[in-house]
Amino acid sequence: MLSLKKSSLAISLAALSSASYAIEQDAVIVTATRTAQTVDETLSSVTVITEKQIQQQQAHDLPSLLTAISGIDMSVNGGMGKKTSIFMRGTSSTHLLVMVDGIKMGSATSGDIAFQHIPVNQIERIEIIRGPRASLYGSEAIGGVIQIFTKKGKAQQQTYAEVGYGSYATNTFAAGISGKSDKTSYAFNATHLSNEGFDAEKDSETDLDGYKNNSLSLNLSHELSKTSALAVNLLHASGETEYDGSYTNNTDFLQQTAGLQYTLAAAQNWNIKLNASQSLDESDNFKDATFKSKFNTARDTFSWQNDINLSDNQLLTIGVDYQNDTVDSTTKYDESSRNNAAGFIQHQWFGEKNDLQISARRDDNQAFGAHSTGGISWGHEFANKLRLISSYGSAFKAPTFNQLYYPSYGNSKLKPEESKSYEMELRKTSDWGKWSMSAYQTNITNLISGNPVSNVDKARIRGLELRLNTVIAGYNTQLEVAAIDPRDEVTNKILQRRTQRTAKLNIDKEYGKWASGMSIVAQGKRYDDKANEKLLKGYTTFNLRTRYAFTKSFSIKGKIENLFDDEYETAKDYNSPGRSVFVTLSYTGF
Amino acid sequence: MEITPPLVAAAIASLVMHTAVVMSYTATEIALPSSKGSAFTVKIAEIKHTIPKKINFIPVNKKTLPRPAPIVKKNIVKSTPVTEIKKETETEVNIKEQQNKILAQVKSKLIKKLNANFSYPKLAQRKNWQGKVILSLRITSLGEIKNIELATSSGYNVLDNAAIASLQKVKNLPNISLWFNKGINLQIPVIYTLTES
Repeated sequence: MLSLKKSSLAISLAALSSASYAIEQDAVIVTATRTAQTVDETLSSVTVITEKQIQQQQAHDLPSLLTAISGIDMSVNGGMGKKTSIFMRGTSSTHLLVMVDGIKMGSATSGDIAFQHIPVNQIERIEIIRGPRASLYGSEAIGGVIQIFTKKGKAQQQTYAEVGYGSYATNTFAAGISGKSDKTSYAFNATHLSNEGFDAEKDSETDLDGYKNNSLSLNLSHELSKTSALAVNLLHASGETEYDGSYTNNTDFLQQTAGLQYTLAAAQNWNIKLNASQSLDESDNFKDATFKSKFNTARDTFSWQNDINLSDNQLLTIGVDYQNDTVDSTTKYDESSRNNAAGFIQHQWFGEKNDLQISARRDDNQAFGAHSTGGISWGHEFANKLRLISSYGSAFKAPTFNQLYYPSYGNSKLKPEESKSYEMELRKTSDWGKWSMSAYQTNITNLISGNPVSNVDKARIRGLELRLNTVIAGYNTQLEVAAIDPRDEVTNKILQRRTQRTAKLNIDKEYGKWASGMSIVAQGKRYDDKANEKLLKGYTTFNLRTRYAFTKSFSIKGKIENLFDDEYETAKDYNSPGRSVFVTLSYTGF
Repeated sequence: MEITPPLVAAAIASLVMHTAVVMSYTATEIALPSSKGSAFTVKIAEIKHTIPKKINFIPVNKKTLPRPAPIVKKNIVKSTPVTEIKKETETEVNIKEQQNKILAQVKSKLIKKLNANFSYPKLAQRKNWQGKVILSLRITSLGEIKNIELATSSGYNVLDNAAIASLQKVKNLPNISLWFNKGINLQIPVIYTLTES
């Protein structure tokens, strides 16, 4: 018989040509899908929208991209660039935490988040987390978290330019460059979007209410050493939006997030992240050409986060953050700034069949004092990849400057709005696709209401969600159905502007140089008012989209939105876009 | 994910038959039931098992295929300056072929076994950690896997440890005893990589 000596093996393994080549060829490659960065997907209900999907959807603004996502319901006051409220799992629009590259967005005075102004062309990835996350992020994360990541430089240098035109005289232009050289990666993108729009509000002014948004994003990241890196990011959007109103009817806005991040692998099992960031939410409001008011708010944040893997299956996250909000306005608030200091800890254990996550956070706010939140999630894997997740989390929403200090409306004694959420989710991955089913309940107390305001209201939201992903004859199919019961516990009425039944279907297919898709969103009725007297009927929108690539670099894409020209309202007397057509030409250079 | 066991079977069959001097099987993916919550695949990269370059001359002249050895020798002498090859006799070439055949067989069995045992560590997946671990090991004549050691670290303890633990679970390779009487030493790279869903 044969005996193999090490030397002969060495020869055959090395395959003479190139040792490393031979090694790569003989490797065992273990792959898994990249998970959400914001939270652990195995313990949370998460939807990730990738850059490819954003391209596929041909969305011009963030609301139209998010409307097809499970758990999200919204009302828009008259089209693109107008005030948009997003209700995550039936919670109020201020009960949603929105971050851009980890930086909290939103107005400190109104608590509103300007979803409508976040430029979708600058986005690389969106993570939508349903359920509370206050014990990691603090105030606002009651209904969920939306984390937006702007475009980063990849290994290959890439330039792109896009020009588009469509209904309501919508013009778009976008261009960008990104890449990586040695230790530095960079991305720079600029976009312009404008339209003449349509009349925002019925029975008011009858003019067209246009919109203009110019934006840019910049991302730089530099490897200082093998274990440390420095990154800066900036997202800036500014422009003008017109609407109907007797006091003001147009606004010059500015939305900006800027951050500096230092990361260090202090030890094999210890990673440190230091962040300094600022977000701005500014508006100058006019009646025609007459200046009326100004609301500028700034939020400066410093944070220090440590990730320590205690063992191969235990991760400890511990950190502190400090936040300072300042207000500069034509309205005289009793206070013009406040700060919040917090400490948080999270322990996560990854077992063979069970996963467990426990978190706690304590916020100390200059306005209302200390507040503690906590959360626990347990995931259990049964046979055949069937998984059960059970979770509980408490969360809160800090009162806004308007609620605390607005002359003759505010109440400086307000406490934060508080919530407790319970959720169970069953999910399964099969050869044919995957499905998940969630049932949840959120109780919110100390809801701020009235004039002047106080912590009087209570709400209870119960919901069921079903999600299904599969491929049918090459068509990537995604079906999402939700039923919720968002109730005012004091009056037993349905919460304002929330729809109770939703079905969303997305189908996309790529075939050769073509890619086509459609989205159907069906929404049940909703009530415009607290008393449930003003009914807004249900509606269904059909969107179609297609793309043709002439070459690797040149492509044309087009979409039709609201194909059947359904007239609907998500806020009473505010118009929604009718049938619209858009065409975009794009070039990508490598 | 594509489940293509027939491809694997065909690849193994072609290895066993070993009619050509250059042995290879094409890349394929095997979908595995995961116990870790998220889908993953273990990809067996293309195993290209090549006897020194010069052998590649054989396909150039197909007529030489039935009786490769003398031609090989001649070609080698002419085309390559590798001295050890020059000295090879027909028997030595045959032995080398046998050795490679066995090696390929061992590797195929090993990787097949590994497929069922490797999974992406959850912590690494959560933290976005990727990398290449190289393990050295010995396979005894009885097919037992011994002397598992870390040859090159991925830079992450979690990945290194997971690779070692996965290999330790394999324990032995059945029916391999027929091919050995002394055992072999091997290095197996394990690449952990994350993909967009």
